[in-house]
Amino acid sequence: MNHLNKNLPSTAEAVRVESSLAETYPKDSAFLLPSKNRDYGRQFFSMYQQRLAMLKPRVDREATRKWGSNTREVNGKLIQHKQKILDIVLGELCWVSGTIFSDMKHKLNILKDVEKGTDDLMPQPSKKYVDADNEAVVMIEDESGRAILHNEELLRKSHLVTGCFVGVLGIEIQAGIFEIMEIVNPAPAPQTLALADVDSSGPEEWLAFVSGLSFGKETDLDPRTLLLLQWLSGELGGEDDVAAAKKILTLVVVGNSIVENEHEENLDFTTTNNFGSKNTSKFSPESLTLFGQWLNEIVATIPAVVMPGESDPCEVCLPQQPVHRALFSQNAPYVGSKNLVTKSNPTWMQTNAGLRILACAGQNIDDICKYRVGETSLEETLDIMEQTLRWQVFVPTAPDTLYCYPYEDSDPFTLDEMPNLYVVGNQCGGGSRTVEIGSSSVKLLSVPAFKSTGEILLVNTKTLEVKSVLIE
Amino acid sequence: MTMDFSEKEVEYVFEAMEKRPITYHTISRDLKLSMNKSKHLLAQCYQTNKKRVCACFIATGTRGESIVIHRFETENDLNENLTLTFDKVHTIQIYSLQLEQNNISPVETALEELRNPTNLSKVATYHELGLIKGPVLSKSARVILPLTVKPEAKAVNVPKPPQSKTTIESGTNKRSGPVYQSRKTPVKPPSGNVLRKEMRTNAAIKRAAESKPAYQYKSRKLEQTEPKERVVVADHEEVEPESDVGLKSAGPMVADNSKLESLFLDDDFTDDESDLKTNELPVEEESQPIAVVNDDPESQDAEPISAPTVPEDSIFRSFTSNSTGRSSATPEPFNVTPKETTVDNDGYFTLYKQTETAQPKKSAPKLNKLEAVKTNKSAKNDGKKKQASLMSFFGKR
Repeated sequence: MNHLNKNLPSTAEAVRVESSLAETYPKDSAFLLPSKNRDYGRQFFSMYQQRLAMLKPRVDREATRKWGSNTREVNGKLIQHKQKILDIVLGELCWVSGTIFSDMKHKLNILKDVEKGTDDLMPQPSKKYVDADNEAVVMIEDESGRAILHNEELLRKSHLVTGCFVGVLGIEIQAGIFEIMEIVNPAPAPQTLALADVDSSGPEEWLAFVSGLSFGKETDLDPRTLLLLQWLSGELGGEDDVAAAKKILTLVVVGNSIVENEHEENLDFTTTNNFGSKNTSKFSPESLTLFGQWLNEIVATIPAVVMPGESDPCEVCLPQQPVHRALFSQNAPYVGSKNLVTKSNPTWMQTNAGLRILACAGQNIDDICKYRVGETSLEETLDIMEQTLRWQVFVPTAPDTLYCYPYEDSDPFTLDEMPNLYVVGNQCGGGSRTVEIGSSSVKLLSVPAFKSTGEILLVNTKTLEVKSVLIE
Repeated sequence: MTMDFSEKEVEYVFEAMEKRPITYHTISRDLKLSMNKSKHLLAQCYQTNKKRVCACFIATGTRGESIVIHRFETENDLNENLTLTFDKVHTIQIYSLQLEQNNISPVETALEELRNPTNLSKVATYHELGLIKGPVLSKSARVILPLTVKPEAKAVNVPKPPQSKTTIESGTNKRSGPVYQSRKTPVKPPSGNVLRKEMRTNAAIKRAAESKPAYQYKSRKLEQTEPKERVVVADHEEVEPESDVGLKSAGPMVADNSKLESLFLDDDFTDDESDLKTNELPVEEESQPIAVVNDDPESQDAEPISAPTVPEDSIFRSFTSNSTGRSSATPEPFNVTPKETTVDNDGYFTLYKQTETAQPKKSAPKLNKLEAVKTNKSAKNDGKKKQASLMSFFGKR
């Protein structure tokens, strides 16, 4: 044990650099819903209308730039532009733009529930919408009609899901079936501030992202959460550890801080009394207490930003509103101050230097993964994240397969600005990738679930360099 | 590196170990030692008592580009896997010590740690012990609007005051800022339901008095209890049906029967007997047991219910009226000509009892009530129950 108590930090007080997250910035309330006058009685077509209005001009512009209209040839055939899907002529090479719709067998279907007589119960979420025997039927539709898209390879690579607005080039080989050759995405929105324009001089500043802490019962307390806490506070480790820890300005908790109670799934509605099961709470006070105690220790040394996740006590629909202060127990007095900030899910954040961060707790990526068969790896997660930015809709499956608020006048999930850092929490693995979309360079950050991996990610706010801290 | 520790500190470690695992973090907070010193203390205790205690080690370092923090349960585990786990080791420290026989799990060790929470009002002391100093802790100011009953007050837009921050770094625990005002105030106004009921009844009374309602609610239950034929008699000691109506009605509106009564004022009540019966029925129902008494031959032999007569010789004779025996309070029977049974539009039968004799005996049921009660009691003591006949209502001819 040569290294026992070697390189311990000096006895002088270690001081953390001041917080680097801006308090007010554009779109800081982009996903906040009014506390009163929320109308859930509206239909969702308004959202799709807004999405169409925002993306159709951009798709048409990109498609025209790439394929033209009666100006370019492919194998001796001029490429036509069809304004409507119903205008597609059999055997004619053309391109159209429209919204993608994916018809899948295991997707929730209210009409089937009514037919079975189970429409008065909360539907059980499917783990996958497709299986090996029943693949998705991908269609493109607009106000005039719908056409089935055919090209397995291309569709598999493109990860197209319901809600994307794209342009497709192809030929109608059969009535109603459109063989596609190419897909064009909407023109990407610009970035507010490029990374190259950020002043990288001065001391290093890092942001720590953690997700999936999953505090549950006391008997299931993860000792790694305490090690993380002590490392962040500079009490654990040597001089190098303290030097790294004191450069971390803010800890961002990207959802799933507590774990839901496990319920026995009772699908027998005929012989048993299943009525009371739907009234059972999913949350236990024990988990909130443990999280509150942990957060109390964190707040003493480092500012924290808390986002809700799928398993947190918040609404099911996206965007999830900030966790109510009453759920923070002894930390409630600090909610809203610089020491403890609550954000919605998803949310925009901005560093003091001006870099824009778009963070989401992971429901959007998890739902897209249900459109594919099999487990999703870290690389596939990053691919899907990249695709959501290319589609310019980072929650495309809402409201079809992901619950969301019925917006009427806007669609906040459609990008009109490209972030510098795109963070998605509660994924299978931790990793990052830099992608070039148009003229913008975006850093993708997949934050793993801490409960399963014990990993947190550190991001340099000036260079967007990513480091991992692994607690085993 | 060895450090000198006081006996008290070492004793504390071993005493604590008897019951629970002790970590460097707990030692630092309890003994007000810096983190470094507490780590050294743990190491020293472990070195001197390796056979009795077992230690949990934490090693930090790097593996690739990642910072790794690894927990080793035993020294053997540490020695075997250290080089495999890290590319470069920063430091190793003892995380916790426990007696070998205790065999406490890491989860319980972690729970023990949480039982010594950080006191946010004493953060400054923790900085001296090794906690990284972060931004000053400040509470967010909250404005609690007082609960107002008036609906007008709700429409007023209260502007958000600027967030004033209070610091607690001074070390005092004084709470400043707005005080939480519970909605359960001690001087509680009458509950909403009661208040609303009162308001409703008051409003109903006002409404009825002021304006003629287009529709007046009439309870069908009340109609059933009200007799179809009624006599409005002065000095009526019975409970008026109007008051019964008022008691029985469950609705919030106070029924104003003055207009209802006015409907009957012009009615010609020629059927005296039926009216008397309707008057007497409630009384007779009350005096049902008296009817039992009358069936007995003894009771039958007894004088029928009548007003007590004062003997002629009595000195009290002069104080009585000249009437022969009738109570002045008793109403004179109406001369009712017997009528046939009729059926009205609602399907109610009106029966008329045909009697020939006058009804002085029946007319003074109240005066003889006391006597009847006494006789009734004596009759009850016999223990015999006999079925009452209908004729007993009318007494002896």
